[in-house]
Amino acid sequence: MQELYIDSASHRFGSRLILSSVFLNCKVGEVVGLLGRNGSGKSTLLRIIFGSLNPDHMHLKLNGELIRKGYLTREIAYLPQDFFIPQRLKVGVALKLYVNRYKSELLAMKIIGENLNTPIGELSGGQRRLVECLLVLYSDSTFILMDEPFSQLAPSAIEELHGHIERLKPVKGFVVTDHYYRQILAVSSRIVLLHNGCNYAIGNEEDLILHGYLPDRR
Amino acid sequence: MRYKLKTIYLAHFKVGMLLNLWVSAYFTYFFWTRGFDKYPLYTLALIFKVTAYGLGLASEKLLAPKREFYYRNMGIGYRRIFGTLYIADLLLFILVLIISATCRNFI
Repeated sequence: MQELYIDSASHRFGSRLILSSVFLNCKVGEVVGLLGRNGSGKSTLLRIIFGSLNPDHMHLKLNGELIRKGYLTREIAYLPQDFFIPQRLKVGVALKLYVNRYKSELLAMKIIGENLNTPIGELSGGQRRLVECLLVLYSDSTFILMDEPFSQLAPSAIEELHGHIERLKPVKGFVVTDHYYRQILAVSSRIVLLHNGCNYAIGNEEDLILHGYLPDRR
Repeated sequence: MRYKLKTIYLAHFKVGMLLNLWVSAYFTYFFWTRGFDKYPLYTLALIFKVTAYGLGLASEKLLAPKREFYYRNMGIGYRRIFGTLYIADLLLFILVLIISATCRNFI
């Protein structure tokens, strides 16, 4: 079974400890929802796994092999919070750069097929975000890290994205983080909460209240 | 991978490549007119090449919009991008110098 695994991840920004011996794993067929308050280290953890941030300490393994930077394996793709594809790049060119295996599926989608010659910067903010999400989801990588994929998207687009994740779940593993926690609960197979620099396994919404992520309104 | 690198260079590094080619062409002309046995010229050429490489790197890191994730999602890091570009440029410069020196000896 293909697995992405990070253990003992620790990182400080200045004197502030963001992550302290955090553990996270994700297997193909799983959607791991990563929740946490602002500044809890969700994006930091994803960037450490992807390889764009050097942590103070970590053990990162992909399919049992120790690796240093996730992106160099080409098995891990990362959707950052902000737009990442240069705005002058045409959708068709971006498609060629990121997608090989699922190219025909993407070409059949209206938002891709109709905008192949459109520079990605000329799409609306929501359309651009959806195109970037689709390119990362259908990329050739096996593990997909998504940082706030649902922000900027209309409810119908969020539903569409859920469908794509469900469709690709048998062949890929996902780590998804967002502040729309209901969307995360709906799409995830299991939930991990980052709190006080540590990770907690979450079984239900009660656990999120217990750990102070959700307000207790009882 | 070749297609990805080609797209990256043509889309984002045209100015840097032109600057490096201009430095190469300028020094080739310099060597051609002054002779290929002026050894300090080689040091000067190397200093100019390194400066041009530094300028290319600095403009990408400091002035250009952030493209880190765009490159890395293709499995390509900055070291690969700049390493390939600069090694190819240096090899091309050396090759042009060797060919010009050989031709000049014949003339």
